Amino acid sequence: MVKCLVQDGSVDLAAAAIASAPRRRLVERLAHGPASMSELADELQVTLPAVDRHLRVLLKAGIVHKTKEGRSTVLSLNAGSLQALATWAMSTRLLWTGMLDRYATAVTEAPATHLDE
Amino acid sequence: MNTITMTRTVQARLERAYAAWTDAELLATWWWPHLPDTSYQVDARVGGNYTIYSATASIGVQGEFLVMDPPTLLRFTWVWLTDGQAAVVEGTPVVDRVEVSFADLGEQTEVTVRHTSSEDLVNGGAQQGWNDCLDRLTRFT
Repeated sequence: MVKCLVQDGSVDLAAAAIASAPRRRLVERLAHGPASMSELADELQVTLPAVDRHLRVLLKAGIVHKTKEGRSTVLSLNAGSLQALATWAMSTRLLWTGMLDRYATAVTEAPATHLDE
Repeated sequence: MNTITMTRTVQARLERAYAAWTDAELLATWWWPHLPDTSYQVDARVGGNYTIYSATASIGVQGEFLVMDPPTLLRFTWVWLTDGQAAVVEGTPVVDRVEVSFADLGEQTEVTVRHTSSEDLVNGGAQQGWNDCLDRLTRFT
């Protein structure tokens, strides 16, 4: 029996994680390649504690991961981590697109003809 | 949380545009006409429930009307049904919310749908099973 549900909480976490302009800027920056904390702070002109705070959320949501390179920590984007969110938005949109197309057709009123009046 | 918003302008006056969401017969003309066995039960009052279900596809949706402000606003909950059962995650139903608002443009009506994924569950949400539900629907299109 095909179940209509799968266990996957990644969308909500990802949605919450990117529901913040500073975090979206971090994600956008990391989409161009890995960077250290101080590079991120520098380039985005925010304080290190702010970068740290936002990165914690992104790390928890699995959008970003960190690796140690010598003495510095490098942050990278996890490929595909935003896919579930994109998929939800896409599929919901797709469903309603089809529904609203049919709705628009069904409720369309024939152009008024005044012949009978 | 996670909301998608879609707006459509339809060639119908406000009352008719609204009624097509709350009148079971009108609803049947557009909801899932490609699933001819779909049943439409609509108790169109605040606190009333609606159930739309196709046994052929083993898929449906049900919910409760939270706000009915004819002919401009509708709010209802949205729970997917599969094999006649409400979609649950870890024993709790996955309850989405949908808002439909209608703006008077004279001969036309602007209809806006906002679909919000479940906020009630840490690990829940409309996304769960969406693709599977959609796959099952499109199979019958």
